[in-house]
Amino acid sequence: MKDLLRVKSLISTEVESLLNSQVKKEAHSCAQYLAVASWCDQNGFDNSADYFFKQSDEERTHQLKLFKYILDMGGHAISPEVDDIRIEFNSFREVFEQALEMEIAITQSFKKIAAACHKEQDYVTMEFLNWFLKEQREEEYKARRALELFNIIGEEATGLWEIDKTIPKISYTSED
Amino acid sequence: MIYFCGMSCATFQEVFSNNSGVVYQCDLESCFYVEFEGKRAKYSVRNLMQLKRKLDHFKIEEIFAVDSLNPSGVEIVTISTTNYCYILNPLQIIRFRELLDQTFFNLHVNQVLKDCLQYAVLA
Repeated sequence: MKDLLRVKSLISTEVESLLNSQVKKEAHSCAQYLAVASWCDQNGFDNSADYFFKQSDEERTHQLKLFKYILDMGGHAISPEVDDIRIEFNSFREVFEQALEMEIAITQSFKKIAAACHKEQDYVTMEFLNWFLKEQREEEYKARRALELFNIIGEEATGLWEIDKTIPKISYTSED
Repeated sequence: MIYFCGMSCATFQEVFSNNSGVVYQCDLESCFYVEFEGKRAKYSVRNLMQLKRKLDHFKIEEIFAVDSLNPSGVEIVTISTTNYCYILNPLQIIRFRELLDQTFFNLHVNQVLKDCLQYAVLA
């Protein structure tokens, strides 16, 4: 009997489902960062707003990269519904706390997919995921560094203005 | 002897059957024939997966909820690019799910066996 499932797609239904969940998570992050950018802009944190606009764009790129991979492998990529977007925050600091939480959740999610790939010996998808795992090093680093600015600079007096000015300077240079 | 579209059973293999129905795989056409409660339909791999996704999507517990939006419990299932349409009650949904769950389980077993036997020998 022919293996019709394999003929149709390189990836298993389980990996396909996990990748589609990840597409949804990236879409959620994209929309959430956009909401955060809006909040920052409304509250006068222009530099942070720009930073989060760029983050939103990046998440969209990640979403499309995953989406295209599913299709290229013969799977069924599902355009996700996005809901539960938080638009109000109690403080400038809380914005960055949420950003870090989101990045940690994304990293955990990729680890879960990687574990499934190892279990199934799907090294093709594993190789594809390596780019995202490396990317998460940068994403978490930047989110953590941003949050640390609140402790280093302090929130008193012109602290918040200084933090907003420093946010765009955060960069990650890895040694690969 | 099973005949579909004038072809003999030689090209068909039973993937799974139970009291509700049976699923055959046709290697020649690279498709599946699904018989469920007397109704026969031909599906590509993609369409069969779509059918399974749609059936899995129904929340049976919600159908029986007091404030259910669908008190009749009847669901209509259509698959794009095919002309097939099922009108299913909750019990039929459960039975159809069982049929397809086992079908996909067996297809995965076939995949594992093929991996172990065919590709291992080639290596």
